[in-house]
Amino acid sequence: MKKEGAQAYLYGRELLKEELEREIESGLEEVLQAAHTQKGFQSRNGSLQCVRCGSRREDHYPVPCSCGKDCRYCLRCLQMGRIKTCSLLYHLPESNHFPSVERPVLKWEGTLSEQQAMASRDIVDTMETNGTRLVWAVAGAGKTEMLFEGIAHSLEQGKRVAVASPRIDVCLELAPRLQTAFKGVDVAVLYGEMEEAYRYTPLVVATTHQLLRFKEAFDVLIIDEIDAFPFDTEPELHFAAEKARKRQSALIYLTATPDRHLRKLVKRKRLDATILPARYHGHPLPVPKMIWAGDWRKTMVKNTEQAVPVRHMARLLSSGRRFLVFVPNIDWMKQVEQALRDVFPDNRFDSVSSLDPMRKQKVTAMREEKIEFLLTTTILERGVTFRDIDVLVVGAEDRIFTESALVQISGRVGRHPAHPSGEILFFHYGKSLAMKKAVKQINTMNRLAKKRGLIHS
Amino acid sequence: MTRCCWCGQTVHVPLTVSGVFSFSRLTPEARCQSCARKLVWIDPEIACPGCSRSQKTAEWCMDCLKWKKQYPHKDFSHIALYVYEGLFREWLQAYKFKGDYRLASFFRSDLRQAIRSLKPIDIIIPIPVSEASLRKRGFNQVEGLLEAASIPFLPVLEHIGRGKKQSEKKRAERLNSPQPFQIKEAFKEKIKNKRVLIVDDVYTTGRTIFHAREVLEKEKTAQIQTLTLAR
Repeated sequence: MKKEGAQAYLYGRELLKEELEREIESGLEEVLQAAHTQKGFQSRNGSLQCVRCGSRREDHYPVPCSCGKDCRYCLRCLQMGRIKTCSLLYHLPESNHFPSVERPVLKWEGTLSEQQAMASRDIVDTMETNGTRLVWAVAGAGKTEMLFEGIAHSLEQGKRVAVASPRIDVCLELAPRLQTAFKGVDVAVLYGEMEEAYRYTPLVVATTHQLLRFKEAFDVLIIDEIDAFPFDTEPELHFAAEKARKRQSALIYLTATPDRHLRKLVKRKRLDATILPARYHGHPLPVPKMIWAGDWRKTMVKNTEQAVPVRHMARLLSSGRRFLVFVPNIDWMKQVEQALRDVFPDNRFDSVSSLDPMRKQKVTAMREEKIEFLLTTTILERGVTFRDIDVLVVGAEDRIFTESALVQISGRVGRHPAHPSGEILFFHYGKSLAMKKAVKQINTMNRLAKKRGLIHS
Repeated sequence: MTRCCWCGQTVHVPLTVSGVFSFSRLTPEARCQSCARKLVWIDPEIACPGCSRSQKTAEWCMDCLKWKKQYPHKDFSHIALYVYEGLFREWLQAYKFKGDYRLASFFRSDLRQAIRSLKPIDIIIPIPVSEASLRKRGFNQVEGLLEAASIPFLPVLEHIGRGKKQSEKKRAERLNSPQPFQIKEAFKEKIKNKRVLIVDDVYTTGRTIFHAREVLEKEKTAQIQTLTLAR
């Protein structure tokens, strides 16, 4: 590879020598010499901080080291390769050395709905002015398509663009769609277990963890499902997002369920927001019904046939409906599954969780209508689309069902234009605040959509 | 309250009557029950008496019969605690190759218990790592294990071998590798007529352990036992 080629590996990135050794076959020495270096830990406000992930002292663990001194390593970003007090991080400034793109770069030929077009204009503006914007779009609004115009403009200006998400499945779904829309543009897809080697590309799709390996690289950073785990709980991912974008750059957050913090910023006009309250098919969002189910933990297992949720399941099955049943945890789900086998011996159903190696196949079976219902944990709360289903949440008051989880779960229903409605049933043993707020959020969105004339039915 | 160093779950310390009346300090396990259950323990009743290979009977395995031919005058009975698979493999990957030193404590109670159950020992000797590995990893993984278990040891051996690491070689290459160890001058007198225990992380072909035995036997040690976490 040419010298320039080898250096390109490091443009806008921040890597350990071991990582570079793995990526660069020849010309490593020259790259190392040309690179800017920085110690792995740096003192900030009097306390030592990991330069890669921003973690503080409590995440630094002592280790005997050949450097001789009291050395520590960072536990927080360990999965990206161990970074020690004595490590060096290598970096080359982003140069935007990309081949010029063919114009128009956007090959997508679909049309945007009225509200999508409005959002698309907002996004283009934000990218032009290096602003920050929250795009709050209900599940099924068609978020990806609204990004195309803005990304196209940016690429035509020679900018480097990243689309990141905390969820691998979201990245893997986005990547091919972007690849098709921007045929002719090289797209790198980065995630933990990827098999492809890193390439220097103008368009990057990555998990938010992978952003830890970048430094001041992107002119445009888009983060999808900003409220999803682990982005909501891991501070180093926020650090990574800030570090990965240029000081002068645009930042777009996408979500169907912004958390309170983001909503507060919007309310106080500290963050620009575009709200898309309607689905692209123009039907209102189905609203959950709350149904008292008594001590569901007990009745579902002990007196299954008489349990309120099971009676509703029987009703749906007899009218030929297919549905998802969300439950609070895996262990209990297994017990319920057993009990349901006795009640519905002739029905085809299955259960799925994050620990299930057959997860993908089971979801496919549900999508292809080979099974009638699927018991699931919150793992299927987002990112999956089924044609025409109902949703039951058993134990909706459980802590695991947060407001955003319940809104996302409700978002599984009525996605398809031919089947825009369906039942959403929250079974509970006392309503939780999250349940009430979720219903309120959905109603608010429907009202807003109606006010803006986006509901056509 | 402590947390499992592997999965982060809370570790419960069972309070027993004998525990209370032993008046010893309560040392909580470094790992939780559910992680402990995922390790596959080697049952000596159905393992090779020479190398602890897990099999159906307690007969000598083919590999050990070959070692017997190569070292005809020697008795050996290697002790390994767990089968080298599943969680153990993952743990070793994280501890040794990713360098997560905190994980050294995962096996601390196993090591202590295993050593207590052996014949009397005067000196515990960890297998050394090469200069290159030490520079890269920063620590000797066996010493790390012993330190985490508060077991005193003497770094009697040094690694003088060059070239590829054992873990990067094919089986035949491993078996034919030359003697990589020597005894540090300063310790030569100290080990004479002593009962020693050689400790390593994993027993794979046995090559490393037999190399270590060889150099120690030359210095007239009284008795040699060998122990690894896994086989």
